[in-house]
Amino acid sequence: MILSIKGLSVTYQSDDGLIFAVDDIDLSLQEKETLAIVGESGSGKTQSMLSIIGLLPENAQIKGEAFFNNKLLFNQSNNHAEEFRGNEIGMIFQDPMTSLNPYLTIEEQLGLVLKKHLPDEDHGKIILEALNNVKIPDAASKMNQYPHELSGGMRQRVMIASVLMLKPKILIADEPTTALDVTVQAQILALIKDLKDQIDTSIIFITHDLGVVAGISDRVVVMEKGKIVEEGAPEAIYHAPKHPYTQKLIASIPRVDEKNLHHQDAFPNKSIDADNISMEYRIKKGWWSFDTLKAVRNVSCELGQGEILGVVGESGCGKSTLAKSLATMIYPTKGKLKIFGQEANIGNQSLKKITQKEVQMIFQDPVSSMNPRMNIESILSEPLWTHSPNLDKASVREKVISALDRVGLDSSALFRYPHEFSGGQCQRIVIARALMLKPKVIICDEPVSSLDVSIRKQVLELLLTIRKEINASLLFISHDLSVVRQVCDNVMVMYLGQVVEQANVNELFDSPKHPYTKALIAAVPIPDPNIQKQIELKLMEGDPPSPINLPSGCSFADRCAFKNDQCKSEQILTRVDSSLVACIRAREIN
Amino acid sequence: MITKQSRSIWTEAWGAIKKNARATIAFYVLCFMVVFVVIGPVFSSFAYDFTDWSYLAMPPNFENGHILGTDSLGRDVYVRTLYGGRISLMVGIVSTFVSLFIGVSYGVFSGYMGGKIDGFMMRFIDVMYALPFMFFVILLMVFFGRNIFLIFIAIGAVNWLDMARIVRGQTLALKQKEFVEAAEALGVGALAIMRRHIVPNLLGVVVIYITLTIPQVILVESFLSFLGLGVQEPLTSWGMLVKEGAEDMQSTPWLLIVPAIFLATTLFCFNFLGDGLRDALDPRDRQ
Repeated sequence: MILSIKGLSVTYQSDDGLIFAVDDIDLSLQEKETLAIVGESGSGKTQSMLSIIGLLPENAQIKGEAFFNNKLLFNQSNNHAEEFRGNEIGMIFQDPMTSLNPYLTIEEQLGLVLKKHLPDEDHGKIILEALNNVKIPDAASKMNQYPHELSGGMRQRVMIASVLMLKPKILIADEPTTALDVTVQAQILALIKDLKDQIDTSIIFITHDLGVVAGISDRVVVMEKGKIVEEGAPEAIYHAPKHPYTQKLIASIPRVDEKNLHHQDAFPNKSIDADNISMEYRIKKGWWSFDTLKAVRNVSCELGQGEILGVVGESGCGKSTLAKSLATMIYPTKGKLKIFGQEANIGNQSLKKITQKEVQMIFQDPVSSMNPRMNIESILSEPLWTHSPNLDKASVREKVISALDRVGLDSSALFRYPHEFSGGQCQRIVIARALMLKPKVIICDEPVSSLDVSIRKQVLELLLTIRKEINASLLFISHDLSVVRQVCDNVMVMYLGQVVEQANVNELFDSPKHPYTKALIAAVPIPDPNIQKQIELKLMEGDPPSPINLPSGCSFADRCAFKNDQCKSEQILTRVDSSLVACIRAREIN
Repeated sequence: MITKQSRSIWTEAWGAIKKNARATIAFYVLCFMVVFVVIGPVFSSFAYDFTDWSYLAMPPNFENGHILGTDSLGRDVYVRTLYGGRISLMVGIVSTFVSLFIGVSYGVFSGYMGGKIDGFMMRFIDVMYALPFMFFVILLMVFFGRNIFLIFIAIGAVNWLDMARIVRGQTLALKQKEFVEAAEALGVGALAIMRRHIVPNLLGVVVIYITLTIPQVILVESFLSFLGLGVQEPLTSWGMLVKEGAEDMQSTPWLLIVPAIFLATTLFCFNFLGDGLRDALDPRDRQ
């Protein structure tokens, strides 16, 4: 046993009383074991791990004791955790950008760690070896680069290398893939899976996503509100959860490999009709020269009345830019965009007035999309103040209360402020705000990405009910493919501003046609250890190229497993079965 | 589960200040100071411009009623210091609010509008910065004569530049927030967005800035008075009193020491309070 924790509690004194971040947990870790700690925000999973590397804030009070290799880490009176940090126990965090110092090159950065722990050895050699171990291509030249020159996945690899080069006995990874795109996440997970077999390090993997750890963990611990509620082999946890919380958690995960049974196909009335629209920005390069950034390229799509259209893609693929144009916050630079039958352009201000009322937006982070200095009543009244200024106070309040009621909140919320609500409640309030004007179109930009897994389902169900009630169209933007599968009627997959595949939801997920869609869907972890452990990931290598000055031909060609010479120069839109695919080899490879 | 109590920014700030002993003491001392300069003169039988010919340049003495002594013209130091405090505090507070009003409106407008308007408005501020402040004040005094309101205007007109810059910076950051974007998508007008969404969220910065500006303004007024450009006799301010006291500090040290203690205490307290508020309201420390 390399680590044992007994009766650990972490408490904080706050204005509202004593808060138990971690409440009397026992935990042990065997040599070479990979332990997954799963829990939602506030479950104490990170707090308990911070305590064993001695990084808790000063006002935290620790109870209980922990041993590393039978040596005392801490108990009631002594805390030696700091002596083990780095050389024996290493930790990596969620966002690799904030974990790296932007002013230091990778070599200097990792050199600092070595200077403290291994001052007498050849640093360059150790660093190069560590970077090679985490499969960073062309590691020697990466050593002299700065963090911003690397992609998110590469940065996380650097972080893993910085911890592993000291050959610690325990590696704690705190949500190491949460900030990454799904294809990059798959690469990092594959890396961790490989490292597991090669090195003598035990891994503690902290995550909120049961899918991520299904394939790599030897043992899973489920935490809720500071307590361990269930512990066991992944097969037992995933297939026969005993504790009601675990059952709820497992049941609430949408799965990308399950059919969407309630989708609809035909939508006769068109709300939005985009014909070959592009959005280009000029970026200043020098004093007189410009680069052209093509955020959206030749996108054609239709949104029917009552339809839920999913837009899927990795970060930077133009999903949000497209959404903004549909809300007439920006206008396409090329192509024709018709909203409610009228053409959207800068000259058509009467359409803008209409869309401000009929097209509403729901953002990713509900807390930051509400003004923290306004109470809920004012937040919900604002749409009415703006669009029906003559309404008297009493009827405004009446409408606000009925909107709150519709999203499952009561009138006691009226005079409270956004920070007093949980993330899920906040998203309900934001949805209520979007409903105030009974819009025809609701644009949901990652509406559940910042919510805990168990709340996601409720919010999604709320969106689906509302769609039925007011027959609104939803543009559902998400990078989470499993959610999209369970919610949308039709889906378009975007890559670098282009739609690479468009089909109805089950068609797209059951038989993806475009190589990118295939890779994307294959990269989604499935919360089932039996499936996930067997899957030989067909990894998509590399990162998307920059959207500035794109090469001709298919922009996915560089990363594509099916590319040939023709791909570099040509790209056509083909119809295969009922899907539209932007690939010249679409028919051959399917 | 622990439910969060409903708290406004003020109760939250006050809670944080209470944890900071220095800031709490500073707050109470300042309250006391304000009350004292307002009602303090009542406890003395002398007026601020009354010349007591029988006691010229007397050291502090309880028997004749001049508890903090008199100056070379026989005027009571206790009463004059409190009157000087009224002027100094008033200059500090009024000028700060003048600069606050101009600075916040200018900064929010410039930051929110952005683009060319922002560029133009900020260059104007740069030009204003380039004007030598002393020269500007002397010019005002020469043209319009020495007048207490001119001091308010002169100081306020210069101080708003800092305020505008700070507020503009914060506005640029707030403009990116999703709630502003949400309001824009909803079609809320620019002025309503500034008033409803931007200004209330600037409060934290503004409050801190106020507590740090007031002492600065008091100091500037003292400096002007020290140069002889400040308030007109027989009215006085702490700066004037310090200047007069400094002229004869060997023979009549109490003329310097008494107003200097008042001035220094007030400045210290404002700065401590400002630092405390900054810690309390700094958005980076709050989650």
